[in-house]
Amino acid sequence: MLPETADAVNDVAASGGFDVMGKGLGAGIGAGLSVLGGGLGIGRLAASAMEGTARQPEASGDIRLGMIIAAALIEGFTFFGIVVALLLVVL
Amino acid sequence: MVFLATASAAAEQGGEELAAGDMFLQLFCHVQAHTFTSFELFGLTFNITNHTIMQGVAAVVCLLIFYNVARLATRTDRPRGAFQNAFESVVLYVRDEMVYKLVPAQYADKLLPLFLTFFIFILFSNLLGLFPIPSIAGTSTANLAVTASLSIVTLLMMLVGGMVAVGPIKFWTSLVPHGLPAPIVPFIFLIEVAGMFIKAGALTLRLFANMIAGHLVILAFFGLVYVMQSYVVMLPALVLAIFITLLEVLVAFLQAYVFTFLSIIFVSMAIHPEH
Repeated sequence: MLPETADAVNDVAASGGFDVMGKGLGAGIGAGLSVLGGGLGIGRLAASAMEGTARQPEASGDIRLGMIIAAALIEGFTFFGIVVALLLVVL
Repeated sequence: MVFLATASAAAEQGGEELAAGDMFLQLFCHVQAHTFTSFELFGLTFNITNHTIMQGVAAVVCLLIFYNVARLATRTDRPRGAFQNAFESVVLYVRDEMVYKLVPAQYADKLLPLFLTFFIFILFSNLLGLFPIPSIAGTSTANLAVTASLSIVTLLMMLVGGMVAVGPIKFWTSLVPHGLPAPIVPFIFLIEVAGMFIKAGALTLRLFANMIAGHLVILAFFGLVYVMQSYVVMLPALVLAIFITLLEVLVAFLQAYVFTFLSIIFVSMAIHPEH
């Protein structure tokens, strides 16, 4: 299964799997970082949307619409990073 | 990518232990297209995959439903029922809140069928991907080719529609705002042209990545049963996968809305360039 000891990790690396290990590590770190950026961005978006709705409840419909559109756009380029990580592992 | 799937399958059948990363490849080959037949035409290879079949299913479902919706839309002698009202409210939402508000009035009725088709086809394709019928069903929008062809329609509408609406010379010269110093005008022109293609590429990747990621998360939760090698994990994995599937329904609607909304914005910016 997954390598459990240091010797097993060395065996994987020695058998030419070092590339796979490096690509896997890079893909994992890259995916995590892009999730970090996307989460921060959408969190700030949601915070300011809540504050705007609290200040003026009549505008809550427009604010909600703009929030959903902006969230989809931010999620769009968060997923670009995920797709790059996928391509790194698969190709 | 099919090569990788067969390589990991061959490694497993050869009796070797799966290395780290093969689990991901096994999961990933579940969201990819399975080819049924393949034929050659003009030197190109066309594969009939399960995504092709699901596109046909989505198109047939759209035709059946909306033929009847359109036929019954003018009936006023009796109440029209819940399904009719539901689909009519969707059509009215796209027409009144999206197209009529954003597209200039002289083109709105001509472009309305295109954007309605985008919305309904992408919505039905996304929702049909949630049926877990193995190797026949699938999410057709989880295929780069399908989403790229939808984005190419938007790109062609931007270019051809813009050139037809304002004339080719005025279309290309209005890409660069007036009053800029002469040395940077070529750069701005190149950036604007590249920006058109990048917008279409972003539409493609956004829809593709959202559909792929949702299905990969569901498969990863079920794959936990294989990683932990125990049956106890089945119930929590099932509960989590149900939650993610409900999130997938929301993402299906949202991505159809965002694709249509951005297409409307891009096309209306192209056919009515603000100076």
